[in-house]
Amino acid sequence: MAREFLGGFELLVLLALIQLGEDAYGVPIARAIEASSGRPVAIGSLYLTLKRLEQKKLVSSERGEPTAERGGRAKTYFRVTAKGLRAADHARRTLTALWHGVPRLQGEHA
Amino acid sequence: MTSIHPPRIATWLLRRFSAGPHAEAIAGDLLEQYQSGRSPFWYWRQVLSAVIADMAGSVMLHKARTAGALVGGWVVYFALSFPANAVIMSLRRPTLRWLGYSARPPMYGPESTMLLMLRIESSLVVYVACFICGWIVAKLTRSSASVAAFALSMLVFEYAMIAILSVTQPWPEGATFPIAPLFLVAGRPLSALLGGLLAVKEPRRSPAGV
Repeated sequence: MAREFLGGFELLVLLALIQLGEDAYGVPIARAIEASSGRPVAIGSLYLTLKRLEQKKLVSSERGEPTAERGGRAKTYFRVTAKGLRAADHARRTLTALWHGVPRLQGEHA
Repeated sequence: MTSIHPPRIATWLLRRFSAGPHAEAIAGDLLEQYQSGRSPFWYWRQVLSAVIADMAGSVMLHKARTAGALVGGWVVYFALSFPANAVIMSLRRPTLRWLGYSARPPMYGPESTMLLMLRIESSLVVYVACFICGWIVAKLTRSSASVAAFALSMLVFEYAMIAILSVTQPWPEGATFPIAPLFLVAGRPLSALLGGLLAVKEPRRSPAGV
């Protein structure tokens, strides 16, 4: 079966999930991506991407307990599956191989 | 935890239009972030993007259902145009009499206000037809996203027709661009959306929800 390419935002979400481990739900995932990319993250787009990753079986989700702090709404925790880990590793190897072939960027310090 | 409540209308919109598997988690995440000091503008922007993303996702996931909603909606709209026209024609004469006219006022000139009143009257009849269309589409598909797709197609069609007619039809002498129809036409997709909203049941919330 042909391996699927991960989109840019999909890869960011996967890496944030790996970084956060067990505590990965919407708010910390968005904050982790915002902190590393410096760009605001729309929660709706984040969940759309998470849904797509779930459909690709790269991510699984589990519903937490409703809490009063969130107006009685439950969190949904996300976890990277074994297939997701392999996809992230494959993306890392692909990007690393491609970067090796790129000459040093203008103005970049050694 | 602060006691700050997010904008109510935005929260209602989110609850009403967001029906995906993570709708509850999205609402909770937005509330959590809002209570940590985000602005109402931020909340509104997040809600609108979440609703649009959810609907776009739903439309892409259920392409056949959306296509059915569009076809069914337009068939109903076409079918309802006949009784709606009959009602408009039957109302015209009594309205003109009530306004003090024995005949239809001229299309342009000082009496265009009377014409505007006739336009508003006929628009109200069409709004009822559009409301029924939206209601039927929602009952058939049980999806807010399908109703929104139908309303959007209506909006695009109506304004495209106005644009085409304004370019292709010769303008009578002394006529100015009809601004009123531009506003009145917007009521058609809005009526369809409203009819659909009232027909689709509000998603159930968790027992602890506020």
